[in-house]
Amino acid sequence: MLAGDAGRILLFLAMASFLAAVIGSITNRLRVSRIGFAVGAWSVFISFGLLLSLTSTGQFHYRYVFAHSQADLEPWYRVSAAWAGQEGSFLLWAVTSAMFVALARKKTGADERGYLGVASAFLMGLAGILTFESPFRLIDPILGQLRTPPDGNGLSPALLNYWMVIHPPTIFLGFGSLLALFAWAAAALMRKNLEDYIVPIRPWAIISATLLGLGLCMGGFWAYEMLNWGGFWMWDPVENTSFVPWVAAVAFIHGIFVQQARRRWHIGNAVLAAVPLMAFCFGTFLTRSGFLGDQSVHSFAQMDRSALWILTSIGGVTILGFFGLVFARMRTAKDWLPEPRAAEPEHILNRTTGYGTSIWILLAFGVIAGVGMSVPLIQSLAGQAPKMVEEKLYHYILSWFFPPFMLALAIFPFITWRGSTFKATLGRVNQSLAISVFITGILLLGLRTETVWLPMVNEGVDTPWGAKLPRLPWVLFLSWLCVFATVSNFTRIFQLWRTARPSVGGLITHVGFALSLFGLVFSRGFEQKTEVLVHPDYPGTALGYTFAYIDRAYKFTDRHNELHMMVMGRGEEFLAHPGLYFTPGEEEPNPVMWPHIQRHALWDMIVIAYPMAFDASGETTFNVGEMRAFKDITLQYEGMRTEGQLGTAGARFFARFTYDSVTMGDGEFESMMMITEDGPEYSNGRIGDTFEIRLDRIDAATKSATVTLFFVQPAYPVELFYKPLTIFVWIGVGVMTLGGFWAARSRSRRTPGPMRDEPTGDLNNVVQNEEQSKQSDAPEPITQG
Amino acid sequence: MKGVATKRKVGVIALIAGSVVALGVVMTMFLTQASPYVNVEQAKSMKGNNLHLAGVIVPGTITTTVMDGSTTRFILKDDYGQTVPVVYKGPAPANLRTADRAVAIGGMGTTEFEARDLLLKCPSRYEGDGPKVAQK
Repeated sequence: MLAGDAGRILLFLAMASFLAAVIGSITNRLRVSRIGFAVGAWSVFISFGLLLSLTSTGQFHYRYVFAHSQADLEPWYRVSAAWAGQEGSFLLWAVTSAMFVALARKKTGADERGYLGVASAFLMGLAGILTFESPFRLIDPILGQLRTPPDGNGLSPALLNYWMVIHPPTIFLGFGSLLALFAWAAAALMRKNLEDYIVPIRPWAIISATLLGLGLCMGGFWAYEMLNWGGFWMWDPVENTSFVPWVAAVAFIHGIFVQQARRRWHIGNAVLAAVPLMAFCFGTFLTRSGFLGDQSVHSFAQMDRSALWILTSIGGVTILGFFGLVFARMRTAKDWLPEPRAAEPEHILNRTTGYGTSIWILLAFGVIAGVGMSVPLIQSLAGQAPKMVEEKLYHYILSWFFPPFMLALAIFPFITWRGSTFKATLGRVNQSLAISVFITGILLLGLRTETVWLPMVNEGVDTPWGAKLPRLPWVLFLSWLCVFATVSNFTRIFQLWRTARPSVGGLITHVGFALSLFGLVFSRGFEQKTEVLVHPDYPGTALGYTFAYIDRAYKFTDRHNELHMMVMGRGEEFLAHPGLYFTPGEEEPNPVMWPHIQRHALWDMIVIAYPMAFDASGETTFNVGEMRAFKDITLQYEGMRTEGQLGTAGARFFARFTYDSVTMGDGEFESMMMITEDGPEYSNGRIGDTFEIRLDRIDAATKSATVTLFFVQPAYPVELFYKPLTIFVWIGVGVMTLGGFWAARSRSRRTPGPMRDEPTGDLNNVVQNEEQSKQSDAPEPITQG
Repeated sequence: MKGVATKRKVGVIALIAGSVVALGVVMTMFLTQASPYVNVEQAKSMKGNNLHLAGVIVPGTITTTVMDGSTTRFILKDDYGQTVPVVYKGPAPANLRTADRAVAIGGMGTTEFEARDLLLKCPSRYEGDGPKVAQK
């Protein structure tokens, strides 16, 4: 039996097993549900293993393998072919979902039956999609026989990058974790107990947000290096499909704190636990249904209609079913929801309002991204002409929310459950405020010496209300917000390190997040972009550097080909080797480029070589006696002459030029154009070994000559980006990930029981106690009202 | 306690109302300020530099110069058969010559459509899911 047959059978088995698990859950037979889920999960795992073996060993008689793998690919790319296509990515989603559901199952306690039922129903849908969008389909037989093609189409050149091996599995682990959160919240709602699950689900929510965040950042790095050249994020619909679940998961994590401390927000938190999966389903539908047309840099083949119907159904059932359950439970909420803790904060600036504000801003980011990506769908449903949401429109709208969000990130870690006055709160952050202003001032001075910002003094930033803001103060203001949030959270970590170390994981993620945002804002705000032409005889000069072409590494058909350029300036010298090669096209070869990134401690220089150009001037018309300058050459048109019968085949036109050049001396030449029955033929004039001059046409009346200059050897247009302080993006992501895993580990170890059942209604955890001992205006614990 | 509960209800209602208004504002901004797809006739009559002019590149009309900063020119034919010259400042996108469809983003200048960005749709050998075999 072929491995593909086994894969297909396993996917059908998975669907049937998950169905059995659902039936077991409905009929209150937990053992059936467990066995059904386990069989289904293992079927999915094994079928993915089979797909990996097919792509790795080049079984090109499978359509999927033929379309996404290639014989001469490195082993790691052949492995990554397993998730390069639509079918493989759906299978990976099913695998990671089943894995997380299985891992979290043991912690679900009394919710297990409902949890397995909901998760299995969803997984049954995914397995159903895979039976139509199967990666195990064979290619069409040739002359009645199945033959294995010698080679496959291979990965698209844009996917031949090491991030292709790392990024999709990481972010799909995040996507997979969303089903566990959803199913757990749904099960808790079904059981009418939203108290018990909130503590054990927290580490899983943190892991989920951490994996999603890490996956998003990896995608950003990939875009920075390969796709978007210097840009980490472009609000692409596929990026948004990952972004919205992430912000919702982060919002859920923060909501948990309030539920634990105040016994409030039970329903809201259950919704927050479920929204990430719902948002992901919606995004998946949008990006794979064809509604977005050409609006995404990511491309997916058109889905099978039956598979799309199943995807739409499970998305619809997930969303409508969950909200139906929520509304049904809300009607009787008074009967089963616990009483909130009676103690009320004394000031409006307290942790509850702090978490609430942060959650609303996070959700606003999610809604903005969600609405933005839905514009084509909305337009389509309204029967209107399509519109495109550009990246800058996202920035316009998000810029309203960014300052309050960063201020919340900076200030709220210092506020207490009981609350405090604005003046007292300000007193706690004034040190961080002063330090952040100082750091931003240093940055300003540092930039001035680099003369980076001087060209930007007169530049403006467009705003949605039509006015332009001066760019320099605007970018510095945004940078200061990030610095303020970084410093204040770092200060808070320092304060809590000795007494409440397990609590600092979240604060570490705040520091990492703020650092990353600082790197993004700064590198984007102060980036410089320019273009230079690099030719063997004419080194290019830009951004204080000289670019001298040396040679190319391999043939232009070799995907490892690079151009070598020596770059000198700013007190350094390095070899830039941007990639450039061509793949076969239907009419002309398709160029593939990837940048060279010269990394420095404080800035990156991105060098992108475009396909070779020979046309140096475009058509240029000379009148007799007229002079024009090209590079260091002065060209003068001396006049024309003709040979043969004008207006008939064989007639020849000559244009005579003289030139004067610092590098090539002076001289003269003639360019000739001959009329033939097949069109014009040319005999080009030459200037040294560098230029050829083609006579395009002559106006017999005015005797003017139109010529085009060509390089004899190819020139390469090179695009350059100067990106300052991008290193903070990398550092920030590392810190954020470290903080996330720290928080997940510490939250899974802590036993929060006493705090929740504190008879006095004490809202203060160790953080609060620390606050009391360190702050003169620290609040007393709240007693039950 | 009753006063607190009432305050809380008012707060929740205000929050929901505010959120609905904010959502309305966001949607309105997206729908009104999103960049429109236009044809040549519309491009000539509309202002702004966010017009998305879609069409095919007329074969043989692409010219590029690289001497003093790259400039690319070509003629774009929209779905109604109308043409307009397009100029793009910057290195020509990689697949310009092989693109079977292009979207020029920008606005109409005096005689040319001045594109600040080009989106290209290219035929790809990576789209197929099976080998193409010539039938004997």
